[in-house]
Amino acid sequence: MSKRTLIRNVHLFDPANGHDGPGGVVLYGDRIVAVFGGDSAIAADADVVIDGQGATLLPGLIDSRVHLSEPGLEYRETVGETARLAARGGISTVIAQPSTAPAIDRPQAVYAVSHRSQGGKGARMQTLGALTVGCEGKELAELGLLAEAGALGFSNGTAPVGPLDTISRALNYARSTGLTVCLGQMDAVWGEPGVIGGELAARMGLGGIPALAEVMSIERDLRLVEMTGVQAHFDMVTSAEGVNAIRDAKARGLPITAGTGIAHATLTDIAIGDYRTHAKLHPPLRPDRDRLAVVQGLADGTLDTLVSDHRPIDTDHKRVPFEQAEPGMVGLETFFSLALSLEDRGVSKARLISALTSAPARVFALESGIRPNAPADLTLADLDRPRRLSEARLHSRCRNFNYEGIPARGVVLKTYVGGKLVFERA
Amino acid sequence: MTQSFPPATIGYGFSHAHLLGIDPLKPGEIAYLLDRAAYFAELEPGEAPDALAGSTVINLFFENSTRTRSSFEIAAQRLGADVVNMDVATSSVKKGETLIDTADTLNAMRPDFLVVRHGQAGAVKLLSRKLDAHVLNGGDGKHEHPTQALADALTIRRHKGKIDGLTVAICGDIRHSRVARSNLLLLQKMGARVRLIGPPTLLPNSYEALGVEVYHRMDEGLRDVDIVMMLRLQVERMAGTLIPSGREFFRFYGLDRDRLALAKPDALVMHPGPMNRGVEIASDIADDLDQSVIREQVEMGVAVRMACFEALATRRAPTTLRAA
Repeated sequence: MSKRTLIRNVHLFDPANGHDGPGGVVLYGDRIVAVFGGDSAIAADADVVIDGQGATLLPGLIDSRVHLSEPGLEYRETVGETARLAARGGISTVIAQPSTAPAIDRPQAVYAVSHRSQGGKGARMQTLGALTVGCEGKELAELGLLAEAGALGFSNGTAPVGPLDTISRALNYARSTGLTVCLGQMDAVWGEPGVIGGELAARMGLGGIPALAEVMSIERDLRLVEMTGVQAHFDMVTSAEGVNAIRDAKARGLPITAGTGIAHATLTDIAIGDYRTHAKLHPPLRPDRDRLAVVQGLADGTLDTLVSDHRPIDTDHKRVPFEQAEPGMVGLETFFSLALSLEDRGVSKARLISALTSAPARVFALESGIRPNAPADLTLADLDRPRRLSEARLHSRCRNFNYEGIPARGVVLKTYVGGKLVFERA
Repeated sequence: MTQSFPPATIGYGFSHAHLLGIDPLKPGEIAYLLDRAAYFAELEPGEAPDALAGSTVINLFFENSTRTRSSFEIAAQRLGADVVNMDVATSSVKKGETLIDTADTLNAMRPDFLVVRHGQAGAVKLLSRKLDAHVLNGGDGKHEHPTQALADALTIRRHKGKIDGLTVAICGDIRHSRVARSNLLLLQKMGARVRLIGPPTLLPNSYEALGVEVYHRMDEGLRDVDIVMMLRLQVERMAGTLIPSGREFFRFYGLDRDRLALAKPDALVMHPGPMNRGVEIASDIADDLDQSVIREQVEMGVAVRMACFEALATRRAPTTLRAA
């Protein structure tokens, strides 16, 4: 028998549903059944009453770009651990990339992701399906069966989709599933990964990826979207030229969406400094003008979504010469605080929270929001409480972290997934 | 009245624990190393002080090298050190040992100096963080080769009496050259103007951000320079991709008599070796004892390596002004 849970004395914040003020919600089973403003006496018929003590209640955060280490690299992080780390970071839904080993290119693999995360101890684990078999850009994956199994969309992971004929066929076919395809991955065949071409690459003696690589992929993929009519999401736009290309395409009326990663909105290639492998990311960190353009893109809505791009890498694959190091950084636990820090850089709170909630929900057709009959996925947080980001406070097994000692704000107090409390700050 | 000093007077001395590159060095530190090297260059082999007596030097070369390794070996032996050459081709590295584990293993043998050459940029720095020994960079990927740049600088100074105010052209495969990178850093720190010359595929325009002038035409770049520094071109790896062919390269970027005539009449010709005669440099120029100082660069290589070993062993604190 389900209980009615009342969460009262909170500040409701959900721009997509017009909430920004004191109120509360009533949960029943896995749904929200009532939303009210002020502090009325609905409390009467609740079985459990939770006093939010004035903290902010948000729709559960959705992180739409996370790299799983299972299957293949369980020693770094299991799916269950990813789910719990996400819950700790206030994330109620994780959308995983399909580029595991083996890739999520068969329906069983989609089932496996939700199966492995069962136990209700963390975020809802969802996944994209591989667009091509093994994310290799050669043969079409079983897109229809993947969609039936519950894949929320398609992606080729960090690999470009392959030759033009393959990608155009894949996009054309994907249209029949009605799902969104993530595009815009730059061609890795250009230069050495990890560092952007230019002064830093010249100084470090690394080849560097040309700055043009991203915008050329985006522009090519935009043409293909126009040709095929597929629903497309450019999920990692990280360069000034890339943001401009997306802005122009939207102005032309192309029905696309786009997003960026938290690292590219908060860090520059200065972080690479003297061959710091933790700052080796894919796409690579870029000069400040690109970071500013990315932040501006978030502020004006050119970029709809913001993701952690969480990718745990163990020490053995980071404590090696820069060229050998695997790209990526962990991000689930600090994602929310870092996102809030963008408010000081000109992105409104409403835009930020949308980029973490309603925007990814729209892109991947998920139910979300603080409204009656929506899933009871909620994040309770103190948006103003200061914290200092530190590797020592991470719960992640992998420590490829780039924000040591950075002051931030925003502390997650509780995370609910489907009405269940999956994280509570002690 | 303000008196101006040449850049070499700032921070004269040497207090670094490692020699990882030219980038971290101040002009005074470079001048100190060059002064000591000039002193060593004048000594007969038996006269050198045994500054390294009782020390162990390990030469750890992950890439093949004959001249650089021999040069480090001779330099260390002249200063009285025991030298061990690690043959990496037959060592545990081939059995999958990581760089960090190799460092731990070597550390346990307690060497005093470790000379490292590695194929990847930044690898020598990574090793230096894990080792108690003084680490000398014998070349890391396409990043730096500091002792070669010091040898070149000493050679220039012996002929021109100075580096400050000279114009130096570095020609050829800049992109893949750690020698070019260390040289352009050193020469600029010491007050020289540096021009880089090469085809766009081997010389990206991003090098302009390093404060040098970029030329894609040899005839323009060589005009009135004091020094012509040629680089080795790895023809076998590049023909058909980065350049069309060796002969086309020589036609447009090779150094011959006509091109050399564009430089100042007393211009020096340098090459870090090994040379590809007929690809980047014409044979008669390489062998011209009036202009080519290529053999002297090798000789100075031993002297600057002695200076580097000695500087690391004594760690002389910097002074603000050079003693008269």
